[in-house]
Amino acid sequence: MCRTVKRQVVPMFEYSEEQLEKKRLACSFAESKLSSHPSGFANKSELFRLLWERCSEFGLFMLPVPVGFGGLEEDIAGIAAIMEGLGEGSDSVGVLFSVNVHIWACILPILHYGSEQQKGRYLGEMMEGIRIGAHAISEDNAGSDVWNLEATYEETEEGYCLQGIKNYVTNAPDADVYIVYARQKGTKGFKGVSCFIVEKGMKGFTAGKPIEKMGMELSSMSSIYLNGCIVPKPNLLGKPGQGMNIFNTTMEYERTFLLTFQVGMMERQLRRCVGFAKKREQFKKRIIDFQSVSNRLADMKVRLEASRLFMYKVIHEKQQGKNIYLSSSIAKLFISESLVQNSMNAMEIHGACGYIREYGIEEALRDSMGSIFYSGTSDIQRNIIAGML
Amino acid sequence: MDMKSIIRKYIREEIGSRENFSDDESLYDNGILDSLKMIQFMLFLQSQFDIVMDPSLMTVEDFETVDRIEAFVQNSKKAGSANV
Repeated sequence: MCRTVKRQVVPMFEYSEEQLEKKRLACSFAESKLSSHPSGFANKSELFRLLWERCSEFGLFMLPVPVGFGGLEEDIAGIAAIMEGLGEGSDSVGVLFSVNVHIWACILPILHYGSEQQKGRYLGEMMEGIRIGAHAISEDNAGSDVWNLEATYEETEEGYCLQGIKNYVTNAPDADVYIVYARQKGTKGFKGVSCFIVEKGMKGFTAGKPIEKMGMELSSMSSIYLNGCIVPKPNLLGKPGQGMNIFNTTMEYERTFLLTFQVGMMERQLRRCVGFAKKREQFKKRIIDFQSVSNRLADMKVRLEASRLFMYKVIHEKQQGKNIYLSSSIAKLFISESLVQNSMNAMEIHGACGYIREYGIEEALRDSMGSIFYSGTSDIQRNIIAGML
Repeated sequence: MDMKSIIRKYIREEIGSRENFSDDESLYDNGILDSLKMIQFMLFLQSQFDIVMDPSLMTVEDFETVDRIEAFVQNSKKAGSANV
């Protein structure tokens, strides 16, 4: 039996001229200032700091923050246009990932859930990029099953005493401010999980050594150790037990804006592949004139355009104040898997060149693989989508 | 159908609870609502009862039992009509 469709499925959304101009500016900035391979930098951490400072000068960290707090108060579509432009212009995927974690998983929860005191203490320096944020939730036994976390807290006279180990914490080796989730001792599941603002240097806090990853090498990652870490009472973020709300809000934004720079990356990748296929000749023909190559390019274009539509749908709904839980999961799943597939196609189109590090084609594939794991794995996105049917 | 009956019907038929549960029983402790189902359930409450949920004003305890869920929805409706 037919069901009545309650709402329009295809959103009418496109960037305004002003937003397109911002996208162009961001793309141009990223091309000239965010190249991941400038000469003279052997040290990844040093290079990360340089690119981070440039992002700060460009005003990236201020984008969602209200003018009243010194920010730029850019709207959702405007930020999406800028992020898409950055992805299109830069191959520094790791830096863009770290930037997004800093904005959406650290600045945003303080903005939405923080006390006036917390906003005053942290927002200014985080918006200027002077203090780097990290988001600590995953643990050995709490990955996709995130509410199985074992880090605990107890309220004491001195403050909240945190105990536990957090793993895979993006930005942790470079960070100054950590958004940390822990459960009240004796509770189970997502009930009893609270969120804390932990600073580097607090008693009982240690960040581990950087972890070597497959891709996104400029984005640092490590474990953090909370060994009876005393967090002052004013550093509880939100209300006690509000950890799940804070996490869900954070993920909704983070997922949305990670999608936008991934779409930009796909655009740049396709342009490069088309350029290569038109220039390279074999058997006295341009390789784009071989159907096996042109078909791959066509598939890449279809995935890019479909990804863009999914992304626009999410932005449109978010802009309208609608709940994007389902649409962002669908978009996250489709765009990240398309990015991986397009990166594979880019390798195939470039042949042996694709396999050589110097050309950066294999780097894009390694970078793209992270997208099917971070901010909720593809498997978890499928669980979410199926659960909503 | 009254509000509690609608909530209970949804939990049984859509969330998929096969067990009987009382109105003051924890839906978390008896495993009926997990973190994934919670969001599905919140979306249902928003559309069914035409309420707006502000995550910064909610806690998980608001959804722990049928009694608390009903109270939360009633308060949200009152707050919504006060803002009109």
